[in-house]
Amino acid sequence: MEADLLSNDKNLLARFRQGEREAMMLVWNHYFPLVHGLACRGFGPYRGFRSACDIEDAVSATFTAAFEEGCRLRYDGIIPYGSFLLGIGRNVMRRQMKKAAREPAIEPTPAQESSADDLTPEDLLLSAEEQALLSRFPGTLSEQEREVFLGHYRDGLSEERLAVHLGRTRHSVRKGLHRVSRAFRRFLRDSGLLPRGEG
Amino acid sequence: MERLPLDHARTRTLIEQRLDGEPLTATESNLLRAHLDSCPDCRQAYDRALVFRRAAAGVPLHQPTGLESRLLFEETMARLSQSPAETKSPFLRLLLASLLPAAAVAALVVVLLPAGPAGDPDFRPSAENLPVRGTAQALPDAGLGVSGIAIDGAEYEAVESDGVCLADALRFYLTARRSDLSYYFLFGIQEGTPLWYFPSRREASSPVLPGEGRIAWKVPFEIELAHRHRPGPLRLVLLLSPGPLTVDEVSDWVTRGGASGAPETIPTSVRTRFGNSTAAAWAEVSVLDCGGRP
Repeated sequence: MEADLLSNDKNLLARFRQGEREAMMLVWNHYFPLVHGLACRGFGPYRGFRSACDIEDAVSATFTAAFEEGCRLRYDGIIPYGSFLLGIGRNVMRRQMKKAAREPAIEPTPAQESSADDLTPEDLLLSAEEQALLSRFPGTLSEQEREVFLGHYRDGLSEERLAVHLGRTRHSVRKGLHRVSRAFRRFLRDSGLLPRGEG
Repeated sequence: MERLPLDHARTRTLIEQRLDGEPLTATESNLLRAHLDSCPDCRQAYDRALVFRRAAAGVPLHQPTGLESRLLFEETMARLSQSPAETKSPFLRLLLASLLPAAAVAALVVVLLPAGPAGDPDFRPSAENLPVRGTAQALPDAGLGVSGIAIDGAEYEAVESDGVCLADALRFYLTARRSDLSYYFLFGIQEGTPLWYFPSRREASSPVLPGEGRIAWKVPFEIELAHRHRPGPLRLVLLLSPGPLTVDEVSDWVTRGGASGAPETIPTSVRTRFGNSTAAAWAEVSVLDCGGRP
């Protein structure tokens, strides 16, 4: 595991314990891939969740438990926070799997370990042709729209940050986002990926 | 305000809205989640809409985009602010906000004043000398940290979470704050029966603690729970002593109920039985039957 952020940064740990939003966001950004990976891969006898909805629920529930005031204060700052978080994640996800029974809590059988298992659930949702088609979308946008699209979707920048990043006003970024969203839906419809009348 | 369950068309609209980063109200968000929970078709539509955006943004299909991460963070923070632990009454919030800092400062002063050499302006309390759980208190001579180790080798917190699977192992971190504490004795108790870890029954007497790095020192061997343990509560006891203790004398102390009372009484019971120079720490974990292996 790479260097653990929270157990190595006492200043951040203190701010995190106080519930400072900026510190919690830093913690989220650092550990999000770890918890997301746990929800996707599963652990022990549990297979990971197959649906993005379930994965999001599991990740959010894990961080909700970990970010509760009592839990923030109980973290001792000595063991890696990643380990602490994974412990919470495992128990949250175990409960979620048992409660919802969306995914059976079973080990994969040899039959399930076929070559199709090399594909992620996401791979199974899109054909190679559809992926290739979608990858062409940014090329259909103007330079400015492309910057807005990638900054917003890929990098997750808020309108304010995007405006600063692109040296534009927030209003113009917002208008750009609307244009890009409409263009994306049109692209999906025209490509036959979205049924007519939807979106 | 929208409170009726969503139909499919409205759900698809909210999916597009959310995945495009347009904020949903808390009610819309809850209704959307509720519908997705019960409707496999809309859940698949959600998943497809999500991977459409990942593919278009050029990220690997299994990897969330920055927007997904940010949206989920915002929703988690919103959920957190609605959770019972955070919904104290305004009066209680005010009381806590005004009294707790003062109480914390007072407690810190009480602990720190005797800790620093009198009149030494360079004295700085190091992080190591302060307790780590947010309150000012005297640090005990012995400390015990416990982690669970999954089959795939991943380490996870074992005490504050629900527990440890029977298929997993325990890893220990020991802390000795006095230099004369040279030996450690670590064991578990389940249903009144001692389970010898370090030393084992065959080793018979306490192993030696390393001379340095005695804060959260990782014991180099792990204990597999599948052997000897059962689902249920497990009490873990650490004894640190200047000289070695034998399994027989610790066994005798356990058999006489020395470690079976309230956990807070263990250090006193240890000092009574093994002398004032012996320090003790304890932890309690739940061993869980998680199904599957073993």
